[in-house]
Amino acid sequence: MKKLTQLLITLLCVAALASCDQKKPSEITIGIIEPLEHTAMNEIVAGFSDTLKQLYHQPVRIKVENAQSDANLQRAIIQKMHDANYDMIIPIGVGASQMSLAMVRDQPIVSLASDLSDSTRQQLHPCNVAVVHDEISAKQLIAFVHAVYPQLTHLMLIHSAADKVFPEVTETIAAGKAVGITVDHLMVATLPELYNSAQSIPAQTQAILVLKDSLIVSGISTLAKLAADRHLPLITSDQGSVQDGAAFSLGVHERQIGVEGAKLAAAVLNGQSICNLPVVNMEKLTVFVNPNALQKDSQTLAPIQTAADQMHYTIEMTKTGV
Amino acid sequence: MMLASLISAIFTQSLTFLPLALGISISYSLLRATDMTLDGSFVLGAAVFARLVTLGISPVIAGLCALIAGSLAGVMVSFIQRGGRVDPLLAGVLATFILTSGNLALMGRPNINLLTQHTLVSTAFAQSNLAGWSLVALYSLSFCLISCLLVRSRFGLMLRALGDNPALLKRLGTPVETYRLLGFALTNSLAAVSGILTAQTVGYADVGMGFGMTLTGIGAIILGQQILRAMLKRTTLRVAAEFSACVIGVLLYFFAMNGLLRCDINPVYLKMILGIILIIFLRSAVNPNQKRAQS
Repeated sequence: MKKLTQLLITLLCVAALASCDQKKPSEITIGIIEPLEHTAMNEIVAGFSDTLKQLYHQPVRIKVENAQSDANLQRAIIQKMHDANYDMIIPIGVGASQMSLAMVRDQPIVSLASDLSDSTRQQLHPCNVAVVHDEISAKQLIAFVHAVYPQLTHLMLIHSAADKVFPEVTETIAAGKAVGITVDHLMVATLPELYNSAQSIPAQTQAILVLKDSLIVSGISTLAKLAADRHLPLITSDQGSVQDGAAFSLGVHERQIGVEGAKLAAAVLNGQSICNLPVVNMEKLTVFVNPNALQKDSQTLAPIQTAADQMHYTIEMTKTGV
Repeated sequence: MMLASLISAIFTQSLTFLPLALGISISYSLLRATDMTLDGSFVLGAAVFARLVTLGISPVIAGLCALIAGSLAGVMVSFIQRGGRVDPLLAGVLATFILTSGNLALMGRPNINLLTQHTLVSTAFAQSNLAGWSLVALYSLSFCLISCLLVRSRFGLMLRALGDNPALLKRLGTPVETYRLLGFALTNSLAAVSGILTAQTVGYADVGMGFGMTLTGIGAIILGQQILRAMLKRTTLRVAAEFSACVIGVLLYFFAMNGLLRCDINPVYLKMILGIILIIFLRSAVNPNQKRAQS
């Protein structure tokens, strides 16, 4: 019992130490919430930090906290940032943004890579959020695929059960239908299921498509091997997956999401009303190509180059890759 | 000021988690089953509530439906186990599989936003955080109290007997399967209550929001039980003490997590440090004489 009392006292001391994360009055403190560990998240954070330093010349402390897919931990992190009066909170992704908005009403929030619409934002009381969307439209993606492969009629879309992916799947199917492409889709709930599920894609499939879907992207090497075995182009929607083995993608530089977020953050810190800032959509699209993977999939660069030129997209060859 | 905010953080996070922890406690201590279905029932409660609210149905009716859905999940897991043909742990895992797909189908999409919806607590939160959390506390503690009263009754005694010696209970002519069914319905509806309250306080329901909740809950209640046994110098706990152990465990878990976070511990190492602290805590809390008595 004596030892227990001592331990309880120790824990109370820990509580007293709770003030050790208090911010200095002279500096601006910004908290970034990463819901999980992901290369794309780190790119976004790097883009945000570097750009904010250029745009805002007061001392700024940026704290990045990773919730490791744990909802309780994410909640505790947001609560900590709220209680410590951080000057701004930057959640990355849909869930972290929704949780931040539910818990924080008196601090500005810049939500990155979320699907929060302007109408939802305007309904919030108080409206304390600025938003950067990260998705490209399914129409643009399918139009590009159609321009690269005009003869393509059967496309296999592999996706996870992630919240933001579902509406995009529906849009992709509709966009495909409009240009004569049948988009079959296969949902993979967990990463270990990816290999077996991917083996069952129908014989008439002419290409594999992956959206900006972190679960599937983390298993992209599995799909890259399948694509190489079946001589199918593996098309994705982000830069990282091309570095890891996809043939080509139409997407944005993840870093750019952070850059756009930093612009919004700087505007807020300079005194602009957060609710009047427009929702930022990523419009500058890039075609990322992995020549090695393209060769393994028995594809050539020429049609991709032609389509990119036609649609005024910049082409970028990956330096690393499979 | 920071200490007050820390205490507030611990209490608010514990309030929504407490019904789930109590459900786990009943399942673990009384029914002697590690019911993994509770992860799925937690999401099911949130999913049914969010789906119905976004369809324009009254939050009260949505809440009741979510509660019933949670208890039906318990009925399902008890049917899987019926007659001891499927191991309880496996039954829980299988039920969770079914619920993973079921929750997704029910929601229609993996995430439902509740930020702009009228919920059971939205009006109170619009007035003030204190009013909002007081209402959440009222809901959470009411359900916990009702469950405790049930567990204290003859019904609870039968559940305990079922967990301790189902064969004897069967020989005495007691309808074992009915009690198993009711027991799991109770624990899973408590998980659903937790899901409903969590969805409203975090602003969304998500198919992945229950991940790891059962394991966290089991950890918290074992911690609470060990500490309470050490404090009371008893090897067995009565119902009130079991509930107290549950509360202590949950509070300590959130205390440790929030305390460490506020001391600027990198969240990547947080669980490792949390684990080590809890091991030291448990080793100090349980004295060797008591361990001998237990063995």
